[in-house]
Amino acid sequence: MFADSLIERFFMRKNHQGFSTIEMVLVVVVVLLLVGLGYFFYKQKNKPTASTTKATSQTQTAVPDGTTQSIDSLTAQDAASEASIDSKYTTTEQNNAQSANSAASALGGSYNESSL
Amino acid sequence: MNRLSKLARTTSFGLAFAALLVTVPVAAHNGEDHSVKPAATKTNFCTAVGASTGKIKSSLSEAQSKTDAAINKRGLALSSDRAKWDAELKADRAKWDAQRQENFTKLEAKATTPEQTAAVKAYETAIIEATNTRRAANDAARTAFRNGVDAAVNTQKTAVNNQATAFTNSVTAAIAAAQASCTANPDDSANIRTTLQAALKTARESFSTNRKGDGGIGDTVKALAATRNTAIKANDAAFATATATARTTLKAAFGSTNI
Repeated sequence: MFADSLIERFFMRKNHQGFSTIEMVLVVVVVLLLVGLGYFFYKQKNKPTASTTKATSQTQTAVPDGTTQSIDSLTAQDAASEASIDSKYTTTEQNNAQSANSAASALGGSYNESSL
Repeated sequence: MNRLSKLARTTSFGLAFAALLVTVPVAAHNGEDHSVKPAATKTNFCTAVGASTGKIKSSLSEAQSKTDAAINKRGLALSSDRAKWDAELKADRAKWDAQRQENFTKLEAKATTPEQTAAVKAYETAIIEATNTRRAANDAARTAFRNGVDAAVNTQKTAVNNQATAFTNSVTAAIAAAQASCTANPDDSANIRTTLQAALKTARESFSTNRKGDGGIGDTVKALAATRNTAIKANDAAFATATATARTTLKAAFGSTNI
């Protein structure tokens, strides 16, 4: 009897105004599914960065310490690191150098003579 | 099925209503340029010539101020980011120096005779000197790059200032001519208006053409960066040669290639 009452309440309501509980539950499930998928893809996207960091640290420890080979490796990494910093700031420098261009060009559009 | 179709219908109405709420104000806003509103009609142009041309002058002056502000901001950003760049390089070098020193200490521990100890010390000195030489050469290449960027920025700044001055002068002259014509012959309002519009259009288009011809300085910065990178590569190659010689000498002192 109780089960029949539940089924009637959830699936066979006579009142058709608004949404039933099962419809609301379905919407929540779909939203949770989308959030879950989004989180999964976000994690997947960030994964390679972590593995690259790991690979770099492995390279650093692969060479034995206190040898000319390890010192050569360090100097090579030193040079690569410096080049990487240069590259990053070159982009910034380029963006800074161009930053006033649009403001200067906007001067030409400061008025519309046809409005006179 | 009825509920599902009702759900779909309600959602469609909701989306359509939301789209309407967004598009109507946007469409209204994307119309004509509202920076200068019509101040005078064709018939009374000379009556309100002072007000309508005053608005144009004011808009031009405001845009000029924005350009000046952007140019000043650019100078500050270049200076601030270069300071960050230098600080990052300094910290990075300190980190590698510390790691290199750790390796030197371990290398010293391997020396068992005074000759070997002296050879390790000579090796360390050679590496440190080669590193300092390379860094100084790289810094010089970096300074040359920055000087080049500064020169390009200043050249462009001068060009923009000259173009803006010529533009402003043309506008001022056109407005003064229109005002003089209105005073001399107020009945010729329609022709004066047309002449002024043509002069303002020519001034505006001439400025825009000059700006396009002036071009951006992005390509100049790219070329300067390429020159700097070539110099740095050459410095790295010279460094590699110096360290190879030091390494060979050290190995000979130890009588082993396993050092």
